[in-house]
Amino acid sequence: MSGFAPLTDEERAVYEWQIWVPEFGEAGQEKLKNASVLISRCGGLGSVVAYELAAAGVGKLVIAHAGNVKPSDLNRQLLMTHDWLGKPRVESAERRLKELNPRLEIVAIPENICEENAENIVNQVDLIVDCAPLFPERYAMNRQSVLQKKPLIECAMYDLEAHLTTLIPGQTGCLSCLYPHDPPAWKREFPVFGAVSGTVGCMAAMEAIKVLSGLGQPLTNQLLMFDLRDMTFQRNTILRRKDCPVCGTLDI
Amino acid sequence: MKIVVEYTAQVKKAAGLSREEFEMNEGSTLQELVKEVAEQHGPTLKSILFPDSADLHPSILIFLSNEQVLWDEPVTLEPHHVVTILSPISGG
Ligand SMILES: [Zn+2]
Repeated sequence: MSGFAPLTDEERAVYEWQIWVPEFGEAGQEKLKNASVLISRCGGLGSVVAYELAAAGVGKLVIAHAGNVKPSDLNRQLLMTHDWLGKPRVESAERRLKELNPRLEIVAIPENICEENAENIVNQVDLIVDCAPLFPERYAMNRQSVLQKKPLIECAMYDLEAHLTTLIPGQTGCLSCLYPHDPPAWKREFPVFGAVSGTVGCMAAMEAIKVLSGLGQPLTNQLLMFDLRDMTFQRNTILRRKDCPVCGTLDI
Repeated sequence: MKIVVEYTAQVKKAAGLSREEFEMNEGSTLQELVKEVAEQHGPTLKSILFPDSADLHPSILIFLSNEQVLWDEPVTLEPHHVVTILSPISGG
């Protein structure tokens, strides 16, 4: 990254109300401005993560998502619009994010993350928010998170339930510690309300803001699980596996 | 003793409920309880928890009163324990 850019007067005005947050302040805002985040994909979850991070003033977002907008995206993928049906999803996402924050630098990649492209894409950012609907995509990001020592916010939902944890190489286990094998019961199509993916998306965005700016206590070594069907929230400790094939050789 | 067992995601769907109590003998282990859960709920849940062996499928997580426990770690149950059985989710 080239040099640390201070805030402009315009940015001070836009972010004034969050600069008031104790322990965040102008220094926190500057950290966000100089930070870059990968969000993959920009569906029900990733749309909301990207929107919140664009609103919060993260300087650069790399968004990866293949395919064109379909009618069945529109109940939850809030960066996709009706007038963009049949056209590339990342273009719709980029356009909407720019409407909100024209200062934002966006790299829009019309691909989903895979083992082949993950290294190069993760190389462009400081932090990853994993919003992929399939475990092989999640494992590809996890591997690069560990190899490149970049924090990975893991968020996921199903029905009215959601999970969230913040993985930081050197401080926590990794996704392969949590789920050593591709879970066979998981299917690509899943029941979802936009308000559920949006809820966990906002929480994941907040974790990203905390890690990037040093604010508060990130959700490390813990898995937040909640079910909006009965508003049950649980925070459970999770373990690192010393024999993990992905992160086992890292010093902790 | 009664042990509270909670289910999430596909495990919950297969069990047909989110929470129930199991009557277990004093000195029972966590592993015995999870096997009992699989036996009582029939083939769908059993195929998720124990698809091809006596060992729990490695992607299923077990929490004992909010702390993760690995399957090969022997744990004796206590009356106040709450056991959570989690199946991974990946919806984006
Ligand atoms: Zn690991």
